[in-house]
Amino acid sequence: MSAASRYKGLVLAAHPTSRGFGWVIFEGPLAPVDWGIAFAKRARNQRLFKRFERLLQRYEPAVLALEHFENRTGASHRLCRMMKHIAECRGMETQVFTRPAIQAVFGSVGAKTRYEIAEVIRTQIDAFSHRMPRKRTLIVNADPKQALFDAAALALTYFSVSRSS
Amino acid sequence: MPHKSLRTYLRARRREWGLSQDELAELVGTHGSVISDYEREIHLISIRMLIAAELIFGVTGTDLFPALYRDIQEEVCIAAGRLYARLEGRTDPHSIKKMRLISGIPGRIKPFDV
Repeated sequence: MSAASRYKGLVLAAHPTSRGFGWVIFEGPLAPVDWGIAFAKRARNQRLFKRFERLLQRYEPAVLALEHFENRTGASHRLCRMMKHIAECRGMETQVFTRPAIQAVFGSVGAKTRYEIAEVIRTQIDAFSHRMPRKRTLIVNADPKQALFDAAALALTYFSVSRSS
Repeated sequence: MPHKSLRTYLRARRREWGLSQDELAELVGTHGSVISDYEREIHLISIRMLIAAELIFGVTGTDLFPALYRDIQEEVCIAAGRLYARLEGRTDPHSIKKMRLISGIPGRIKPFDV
């Protein structure tokens, strides 16, 4: 059986970090089927490209959800651009959401910051309940696990927007 | 039967509960590499794995391995049709009993959308 006929309607959401990207695959609004954090220290782009392609080969998702990346610079901009390009080449639907669009979805439950949104996701999705990232402060860097929740927020935004439209 | 996107939900359930492949293998009584093979559908799952997974995750085999159940149902249905065709026309009690069993199979099929 070909990979294309194996899975249908899966949504892949990815969010870049300083060393890689967090990703989540959903089959429904509250139904994640797989997730992870990809990172590479050396040959960063090459390894992350391969990781992303393996994900697409394995799950054949129908949709890729990303956060607006045009105002990003350097490696994370290149990474997002590459993800979007590969997804489009495979005929996937690509959706890019701005921060205000994501905040609008989670604003109804009073969550605005990335950490607050992660808290909401943790309470809504049991599979993520034990993966809560530590809070970012002035002296503590962002937890890589935050990227997982950022990606989940993108997928949930996609479901919310597509349901309302 | 709700819509299913994946052929197997073993990996999804394992990760949902934060179990590593080795930990699940320990519960099932096998090796982590075997769990990896089951998750990637390299090997067909064993009866032991099926029963253990139902017990561990508290869901039915059809929820965990929808495509496997659907594939087996299809194969059994086709084979049943072949056997029924061979028995048709026979009037001995044995054949009539077998045909009664086989004709009940379509009614026992569960719908799958994988």
